[in-house]
Amino acid sequence: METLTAAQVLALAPDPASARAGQSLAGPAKWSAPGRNTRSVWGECQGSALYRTQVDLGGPAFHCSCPSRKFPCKHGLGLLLLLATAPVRVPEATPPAWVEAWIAKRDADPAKKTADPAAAPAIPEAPARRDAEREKRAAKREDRVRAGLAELQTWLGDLVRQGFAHAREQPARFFDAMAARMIDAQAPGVARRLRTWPGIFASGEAWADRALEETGALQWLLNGAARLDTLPAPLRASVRAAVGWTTSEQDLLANPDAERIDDRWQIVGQRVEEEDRLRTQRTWLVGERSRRAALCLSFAAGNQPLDVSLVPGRTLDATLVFHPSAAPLRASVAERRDSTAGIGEAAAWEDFEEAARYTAGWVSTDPWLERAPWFVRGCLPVRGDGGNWRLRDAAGNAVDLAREFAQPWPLLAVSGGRPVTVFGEWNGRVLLPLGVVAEGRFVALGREALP
Amino acid sequence: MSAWKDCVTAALLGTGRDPAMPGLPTALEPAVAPAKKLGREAEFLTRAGALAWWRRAGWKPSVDNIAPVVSATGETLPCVRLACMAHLRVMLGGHCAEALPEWLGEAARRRRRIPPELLPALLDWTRQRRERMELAMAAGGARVRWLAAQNPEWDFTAADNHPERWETGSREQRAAILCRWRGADPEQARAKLEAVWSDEPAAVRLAFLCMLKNGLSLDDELFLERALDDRGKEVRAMAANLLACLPGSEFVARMTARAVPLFACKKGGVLGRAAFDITLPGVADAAAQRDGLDPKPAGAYRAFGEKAALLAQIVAAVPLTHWQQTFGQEPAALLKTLEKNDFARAVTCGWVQAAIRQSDAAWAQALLQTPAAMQDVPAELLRPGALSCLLPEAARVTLLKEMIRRHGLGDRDAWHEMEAMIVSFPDHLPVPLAQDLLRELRMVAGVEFPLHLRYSQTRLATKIPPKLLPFALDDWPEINPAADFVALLAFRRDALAALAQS
Repeated sequence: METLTAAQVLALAPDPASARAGQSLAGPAKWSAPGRNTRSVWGECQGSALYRTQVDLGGPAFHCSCPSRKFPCKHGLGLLLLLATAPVRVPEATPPAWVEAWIAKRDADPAKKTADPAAAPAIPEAPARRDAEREKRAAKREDRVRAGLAELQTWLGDLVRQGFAHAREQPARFFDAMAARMIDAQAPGVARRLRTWPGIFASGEAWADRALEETGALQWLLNGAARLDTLPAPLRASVRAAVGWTTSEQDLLANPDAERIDDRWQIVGQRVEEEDRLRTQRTWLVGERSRRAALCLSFAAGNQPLDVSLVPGRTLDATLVFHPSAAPLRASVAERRDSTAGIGEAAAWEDFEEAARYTAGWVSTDPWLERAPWFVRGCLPVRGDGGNWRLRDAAGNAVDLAREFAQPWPLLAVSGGRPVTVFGEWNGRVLLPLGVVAEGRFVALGREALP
Repeated sequence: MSAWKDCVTAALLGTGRDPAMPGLPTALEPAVAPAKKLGREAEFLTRAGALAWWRRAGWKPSVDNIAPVVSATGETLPCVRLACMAHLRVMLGGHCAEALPEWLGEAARRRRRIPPELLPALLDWTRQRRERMELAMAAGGARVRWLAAQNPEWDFTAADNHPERWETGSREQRAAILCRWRGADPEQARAKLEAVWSDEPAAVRLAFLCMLKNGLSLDDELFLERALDDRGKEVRAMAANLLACLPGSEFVARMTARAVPLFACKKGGVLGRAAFDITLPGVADAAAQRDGLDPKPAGAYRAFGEKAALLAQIVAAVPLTHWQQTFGQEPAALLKTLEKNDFARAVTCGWVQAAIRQSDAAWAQALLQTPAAMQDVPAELLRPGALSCLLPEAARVTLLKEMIRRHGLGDRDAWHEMEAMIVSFPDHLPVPLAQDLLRELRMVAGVEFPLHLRYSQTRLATKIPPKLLPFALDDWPEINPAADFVALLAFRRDALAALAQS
């Protein structure tokens, strides 16, 4: 098992404070009897008490006896940093009993195993009754969503009749109240869109263009939701996903019709966003053979852990199962076989024209798609006189980089003024770079600021 | 696309005012036809949404006209290993950052370079400080020079590449450029300064004048003489200060002329010992005041009488060799001669200031060995280590060992003096001295750890020679108040070991 680099370890930290705390625990003096074997690494760390920290390198998965609710905790990060920076301080050893026990438990845990629909445990109690209750709940939700969306249609009609100039004068709670109403109506996808509206209506130049794009998209979502039964299955899935129906991972894995692709997946970018104490992690992958793009999402409320098993800069041999959609991007890992450090020959497009063609393909099948993945070769970062950053392709075309992109200088430094391959998210206007490959080396750019 | 503009205008004003539906490309009409029965507003939004969707799917990139930069030259040195990058990342993140200069020096010595993505953080760390810039340039490969030239905030080569910034840059940038010019060609740098001198505000004149310390010589005398008539009081004081550092200057000659009549030496008394007969100077006339003699000085001399303060200021500007030659005595003997004099304190202060200005090791040694005279010198005149750091290395080692033996590490004032000396060693302490220090530190860590050590322990840890690192980590008490010290030593050991392997 290859160990992670320190940068990759720090990328696992749930927040900057944890990363700093982890770094302060990365010295050998902090650890008594650290050790490792091919599968795991462990050690005891003296904090307010003696904590037993262990990491399953296969995941990586963390376990620590400390009371921290952060995940991974600083001890886990510190231990991996120690392993990355001073491997000689973590000698090969036979794991102590407490490590053996945990690993054995992990191996025995069925949730860890590949979910095989045929082997799904039989439900012992009367399945018919459960299904009936489930259907009843689902029908009730459909009713609620329908009622909520009807209300939204009226509100939206009023908004456009009175004009955007009028809406712009409204306080933020004008939008927030409707967003809250959508939560009650169990349409969280719509609620999430509405929560961005105060920002859109106050977004400066060309705000009305953006507001009209967004209201138009919402109108089409309402139109689609109203005639859901008449839509082809993939589009129906897109509409339902945009409204906020989710498919549980178990259901997805159990769905024999869901598209599955075996490939070596390059993990090319990751970004974590936080809203209302809910963190959303987007990890982008691209298949070496299939050239398919995939988006793996992980959600965590409060201090709950995000999925730390997808590390940017690694290549994962795995089967991905795609959520049904008109533009299938979102996926879950169905079976992971092996993961190696580094990204080989990057799977990328030649220029922005080609990126635009792929984007058009996605957008024209799923207009509610908020971000398209871009993988473009031959990009040159350039800085305008106003300090604005752009990316220019081999054909001389250019796109603006997102203002929130925190690492333009590292991107420029990595490029050295020569064309590089850039991975990022395209929102229709600006590109948010998440990773770059130069001279065969991948550098993650999705985190706040280096180091 | 005017259809879209029409839509936006209609939406802005509200569809309640405008009865017309915006037109769409004919290809879109069939798609929006079912919307007719949805009601006016829904139909409008369906049409606008279709157009937006159409536009988004049809988006094309536009040609860019920003001139590209010249790309960096290729690297000749290999990159540091992954483990080393991890150490660098930790230091640039602010943890164990004290070890960074040593690490960079070592990386450069081993002919390794830093990966490009960490160079922006490295350049931020240098903050245009010359010694840090040099370290960064040595370890950053070809890329770091290229990168620094892309950002004015990092561009220490601005003086060479962008001489126009001397006129257009920020005060810091201009000071950095002046400093660089001064290092390369002091005379030309001064000429550049003279050219803009009269147009600058006093604060800028003061900042730039400070830069002349670097490469100061008699060639600067005429300029400094003119600066004695400057409008700004602080500028005048700084000019006098700089002139006092030039023993061959007219200024120093004038000061010496003022000092000569005040001092006489007579043999006498019961024991026939030599003693000074000192006359206080008269009231400071206009010429004296022009030379910076301030009858009501702030700072170190404020507790002195007016004339005693003038005496000290005059002595401080006289070359120390003058006293040796005039009275035929070595510094130690001169100090002895001064003993018990009414104005001993003022003259000692002057000598202390002169020894610091003139970097005179012999005088520093003599003053340090006369604690009776030194005890009255105000702290403002004598920051810790100001004299002891003038001593040659061997003398500093002896003095430090002596101080460790006499004071241990528990005396705060003594520690500040020792710490200044320890820091004055450019790289590491000599092994035996470091061993003494480690022994003392282990001892105080086991009993009562003085507060002043808490703040300086990391600075101290960077001075322990690498040879001692493997032994320096053991035998600390269970709960160690010097934990930061040990942590930095451990970090240095691992980081240097990782570099050695690459």
